[in-house]
Amino acid sequence: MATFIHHMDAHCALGLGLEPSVDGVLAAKQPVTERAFDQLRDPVRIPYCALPEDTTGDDFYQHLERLCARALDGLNPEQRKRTALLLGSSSFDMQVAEARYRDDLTQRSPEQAVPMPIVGYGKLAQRLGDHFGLSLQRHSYSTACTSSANAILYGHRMLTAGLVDYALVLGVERFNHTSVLGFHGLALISPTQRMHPFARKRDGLLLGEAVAALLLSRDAPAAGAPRLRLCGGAIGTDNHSLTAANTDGQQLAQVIRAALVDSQLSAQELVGVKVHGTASLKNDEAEAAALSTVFGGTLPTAFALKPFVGHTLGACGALEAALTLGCLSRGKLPANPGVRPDPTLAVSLNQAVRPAPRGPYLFNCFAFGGNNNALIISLEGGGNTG
Amino acid sequence: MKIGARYSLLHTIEVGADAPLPALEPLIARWHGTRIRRIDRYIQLCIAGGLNCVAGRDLSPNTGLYLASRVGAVSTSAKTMIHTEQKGEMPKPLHFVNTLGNSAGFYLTQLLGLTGTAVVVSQEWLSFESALLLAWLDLQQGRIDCALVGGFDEVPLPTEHQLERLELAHLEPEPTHLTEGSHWLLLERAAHQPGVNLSAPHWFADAQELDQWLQKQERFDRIQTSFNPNSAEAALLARHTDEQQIFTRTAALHGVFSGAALVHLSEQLEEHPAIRRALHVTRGPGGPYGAVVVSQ
Repeated sequence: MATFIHHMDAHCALGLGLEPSVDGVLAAKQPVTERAFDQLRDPVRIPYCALPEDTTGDDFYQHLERLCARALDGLNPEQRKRTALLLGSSSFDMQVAEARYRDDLTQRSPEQAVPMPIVGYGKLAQRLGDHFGLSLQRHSYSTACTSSANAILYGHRMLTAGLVDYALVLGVERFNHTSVLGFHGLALISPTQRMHPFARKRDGLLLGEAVAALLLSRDAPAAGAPRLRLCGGAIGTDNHSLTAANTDGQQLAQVIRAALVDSQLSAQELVGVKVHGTASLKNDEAEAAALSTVFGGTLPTAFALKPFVGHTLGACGALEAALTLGCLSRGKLPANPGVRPDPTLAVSLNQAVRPAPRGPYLFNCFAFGGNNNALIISLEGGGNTG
Repeated sequence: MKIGARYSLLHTIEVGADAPLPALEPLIARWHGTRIRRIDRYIQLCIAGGLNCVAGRDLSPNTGLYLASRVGAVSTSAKTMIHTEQKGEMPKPLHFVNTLGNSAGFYLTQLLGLTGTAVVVSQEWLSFESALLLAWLDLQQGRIDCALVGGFDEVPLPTEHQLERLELAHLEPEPTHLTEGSHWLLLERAAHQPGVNLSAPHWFADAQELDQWLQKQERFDRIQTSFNPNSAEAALLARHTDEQQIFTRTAALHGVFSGAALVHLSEQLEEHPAIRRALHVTRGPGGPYGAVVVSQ
């Protein structure tokens, strides 16, 4: 059974909203700022793709509510009771917890102050579900960088099983010290402050923050609107290493093939690939090997979004899906101009914005801990497609 | 879903006691002789539970792993936060990686040689049921042959801090004990065959919805709650069974405690064939309710 994506929203470094964010992707903007960690004994400054200033003054929770409100705007109370909420994040409200702990340290001794004061992966979804009168199906996914991609896939599966009529998927990743300093400590951040996926000069990633929302249902969109059909997907596991995929790419290839089987498609039918593309040495090598295994020498047009928004960790599945689908809805494929491919990897990213062909697209998303996700979403006409 | 195997580990920890937490290494060593280095207690709970549930069985290559936790790797996350926010230090790289939701699952899939679906899901006090639902979906839709479902939550030290995190520190009286545990089911698609079977989990917003659903069900031989029902709840359940039982602890319960209750109930059916049809009911503070039919 098909499911369709009816609403996309994205708040990321490119803008607070899908349209400005898609504008930024198509213009290949790379809004990188720096975050200063002057409180450390050895202060550091780390490049970061931060959200633009939000003049509404909303706090973390209000910001999420705002996105949900927009996504649910067309649903009446009865429809909302049949709407599942699936939230994917690797850090949830860690930034709030860190701030609360810092405040606690000013008021109590280090022994008394409670680190990690806010716990409960599912609290955000519970709060949002209560606020908007949603179904009791409120599931939070925490599988690092595949969190919201897994949320999308299970939203699709719940819909196809008839458990709910709508699925609101959220990807949430806000700036916090734990994540940024953690990646810095692993020496994964690009020293040149640019991401060059699959390029010979690739030297690591940039982190970013984002909140993204997608609303799925079994109903086809109105005539004339772009039909964005979630065909299927798969999740797989690579047991090679906690922090890197096996560079032979075989487990990544396996999950891509499983996604194709789930979608009843062959690799030759795909018209585009949204790569995971973290611009790290080994992960790009692994993904390139996987793509070579699956597609042989005929890789469809491939593009990467992390150079424009950073790696938004648990939100990247939902964010990059929303941004890609936003581009496709305008009839355009994003491009990574100037990224010169590493000839040993044989993955050349699209160099110029071009018309988006109708057909199925592969969305790759791979995570620490070896969790891998591949989704197939098809652009099926309507809108401003080429 | 047919239950192929089960395992449950449940510890009750005294608040403020100096005694070390119960050791988990011996449970892991039963099935994996080499010490696994650089893992924290949260990961140990996952591995100990998963290995003892599987107990050396050969798993189908098409086995999915469905993990549930209400609060995740709190101890390691807290240590990391102390480094960055109190001491002004960089987090230790391994600490950071071990804070991630799926790190525990990585160790288990590596030990069991699983390469298929693996997810970590949470839904507050119904987290175990949430994982069960995903397993049911994938089994029912034929994506997997077998599902290993596990829920685990730790007691991080000091216990007084955990009481504050759980917003229990100012209760009168304050809890004197906390629980932690690791609860597992190995499930197959082969329902309606000999053995103990589970239904998909059901969710109910309140007692009225639960009652409306119960009225459409066959009578149960036994209904077990993972909480102390109030008088209205007890009366409601009494209308649908002659035998109620409570599986709970006088302690601040960990988030996946309902998994312990469900495993316990399924064991009872296996031991007592006369119990043909039972119901597991759970809820967190203030609801909602979750329920799973256990039958044979």
